[in-house]
Amino acid sequence: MKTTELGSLLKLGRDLYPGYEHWNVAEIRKAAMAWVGAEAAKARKDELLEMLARELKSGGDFVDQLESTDRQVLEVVARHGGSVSGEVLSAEMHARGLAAQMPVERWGSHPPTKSLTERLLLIPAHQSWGSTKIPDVMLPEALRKRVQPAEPLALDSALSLDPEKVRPEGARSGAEVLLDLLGVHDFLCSVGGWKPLRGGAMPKGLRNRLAKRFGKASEAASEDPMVPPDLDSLYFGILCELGLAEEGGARAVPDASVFSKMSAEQLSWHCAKAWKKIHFWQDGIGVVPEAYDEYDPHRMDFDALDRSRGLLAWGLSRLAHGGGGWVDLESFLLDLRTATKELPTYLYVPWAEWEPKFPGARDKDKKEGVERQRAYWLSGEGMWIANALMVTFHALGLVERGVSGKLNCFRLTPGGRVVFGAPQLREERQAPAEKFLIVQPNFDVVIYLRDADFTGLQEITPFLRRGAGAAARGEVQTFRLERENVYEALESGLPMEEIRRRLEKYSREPLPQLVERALAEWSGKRESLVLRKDVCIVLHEKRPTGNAVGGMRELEPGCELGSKSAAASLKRSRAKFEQVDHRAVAGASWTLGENGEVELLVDPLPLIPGIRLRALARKSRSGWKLTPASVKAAQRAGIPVVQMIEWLEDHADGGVPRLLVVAMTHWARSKKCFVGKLDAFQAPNLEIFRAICDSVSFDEMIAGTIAPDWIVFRPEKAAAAAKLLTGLGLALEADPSFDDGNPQR
Amino acid sequence: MKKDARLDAILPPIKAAADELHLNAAVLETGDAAQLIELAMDGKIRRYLLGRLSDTVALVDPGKAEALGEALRAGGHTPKIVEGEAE
Repeated sequence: MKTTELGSLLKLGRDLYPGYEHWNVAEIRKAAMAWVGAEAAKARKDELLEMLARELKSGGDFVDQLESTDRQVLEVVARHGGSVSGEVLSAEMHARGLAAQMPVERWGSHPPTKSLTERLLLIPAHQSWGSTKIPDVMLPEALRKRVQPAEPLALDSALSLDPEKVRPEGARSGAEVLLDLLGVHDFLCSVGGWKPLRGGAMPKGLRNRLAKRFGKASEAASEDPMVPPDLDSLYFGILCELGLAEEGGARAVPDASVFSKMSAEQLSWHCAKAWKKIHFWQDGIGVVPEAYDEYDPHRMDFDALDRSRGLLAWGLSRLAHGGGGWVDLESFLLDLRTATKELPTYLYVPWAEWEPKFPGARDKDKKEGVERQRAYWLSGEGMWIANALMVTFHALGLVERGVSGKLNCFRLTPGGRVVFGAPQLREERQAPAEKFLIVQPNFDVVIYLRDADFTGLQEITPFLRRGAGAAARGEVQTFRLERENVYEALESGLPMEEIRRRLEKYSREPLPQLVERALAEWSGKRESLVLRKDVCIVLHEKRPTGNAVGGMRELEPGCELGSKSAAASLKRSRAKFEQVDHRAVAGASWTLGENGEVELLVDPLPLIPGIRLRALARKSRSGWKLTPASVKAAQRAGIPVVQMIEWLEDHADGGVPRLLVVAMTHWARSKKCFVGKLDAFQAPNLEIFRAICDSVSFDEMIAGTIAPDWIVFRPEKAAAAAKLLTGLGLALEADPSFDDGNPQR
Repeated sequence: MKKDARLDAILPPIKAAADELHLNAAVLETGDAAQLIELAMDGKIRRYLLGRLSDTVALVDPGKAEALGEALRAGGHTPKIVEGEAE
């Protein structure tokens, strides 16, 4: 059995600084007296500061003597890990009835926690002067050890639905979420780097490429309102939270071993934590712009969203401690609204992909008073919470959806209960089974996710292709063992023996012989074709008499291949050899004429330009020349014209003449042109031109028009056309005229 | 046509006109001559090969090793890509 212990999601993500050095002496003395008693009454300011610094770290033995209400407030803060937001503390004080117990004068023009913060029993976050809102607070270090956490709050059991009346619609497992995250991570690693949007989101082009990796299946998913919009960007936010994608650096961190150390509950917890913090992605909307325009909002205000997310997580912690049974969505929302005493979060929800039809929001314009307020809340903030619960949390494996009659309902998954009930709730679970897949003879790999641990999944996914659509959903998923994926894994440095070992380790059945043979064949094919980069080659003009240099491999007599490490010694031992660095082969070897003549500047040509020229040109008595035939022959050998011109450019003194580039391009394209005589008629004006073009008499004689005043007649009809034109009174005697008035052009 | 003649026609042998030491070069090595012929007959791959150093080793056009790797993969081949190693 394994036990997972997680921290409270509601703990602040930052420490608060007391800042009492900037208080006046009377304020410092009041705080010090709460910690050390009368000793502080006559102390100087520096002595008071010293006392406070000491006591806040290791004092606090008076906690048991505090007023019950004060102590209970501290216990609430302790329950959430020692620090909590003002909204959550306020909600929990209301829910526990602590607010009602506080003396009336405390509520006056100050927040109810003022007497605790002025005594530094709670360290407050800075907020504007005169605010009556409870600030974010943190317990001083000394009290964190002494204050017992309050018992968790539970949701009223009356809200629970009879499980018999609920039709579950399923939940996603942590393993499914992990596979999604690994998919996004792998893709981002393959991309390299990118320029993030302001606010940290991935650029749109990258998001589109990511969305298209599964083709039509992912397009269909993107139109389903119950799938989070821009889900990949939410995953990207989670990867950032886990340190696997750097928002600022705009690249993925390749080492994803952090997952292998996690349980499913820990992954769910990190997902929920990332969700609480992420700004560039919002529930029901997707990726949002960084800039906010209150008159034309395309997104929710970040501060209001943070407050609302905190309160929703608090509401779910009550559900987790209430047993985690099925609850009706609308009832849960209205209870949360009541429990938080309608705390103003000022969350304006512009729109959301999923619009739940709440019965309580129906005909909201016709309602009045409290009912009208509630209806508007349901169709605004309620709609946002519904999207977070039923869409986002479902995708993250925290919530299971269901239907009771016509009502939407939900419950927390076992992982979701641990996440939102932390730290009081712990999940004890059996270690996953060692073997969780079956390799079938048709190369399908069936994976039973419920039995899979994260280490195993991470070990096998690099050489398997994940399915799309329905095949990528559910507790049993079918992957494919394909040559391309195995090849990529081999190229990334995973040996074939290791691939086979991993498959055997996690497979419930022995590997089919067909698969074994295919793996051996794929591996052999790869070994039989090797692309060697950055090697050394020694070429001798005449066949050498001695043996090859040590460490060199003789390919043919007079040709040796060596590793890069041999370069330095070869340069010394072959100092008289012509040295050719393949990273810098360009250099003037010829000049080129407009008609393709090649005049060599070096004779004989060095090896590389020599081979290139022989591939492109023909040698005659008068020398080398690029001809239509030679260019076509090069093209037939697979060399495109762009590459031919690149080669010529690399070695041409003075570049490649533009006319030659045009000629080579057209030689390769084989475009036919017309040069010859036409039976053309130039009309004296446009009126005559149009009259002839539209004439039935001329219709069969006209081959086409070549300009607004030029008509070309068919050769066999030219004489008849001339006769007709003469009959119209047109004298066919003028010279042709052109735009610039030059009849010679 | 004999194998050598076919190879000569498709991918001519490289003969040095002087003693030369080539650094940072790239070569494509196949398991046998037939495989090299098969590859050299494919124009999308041939364009990156300058000639052959032996019956199973071809010299790659300088600066085109990456493009050749991609062309091979696009053609359904699965080359092992190594850097700086001669064996």
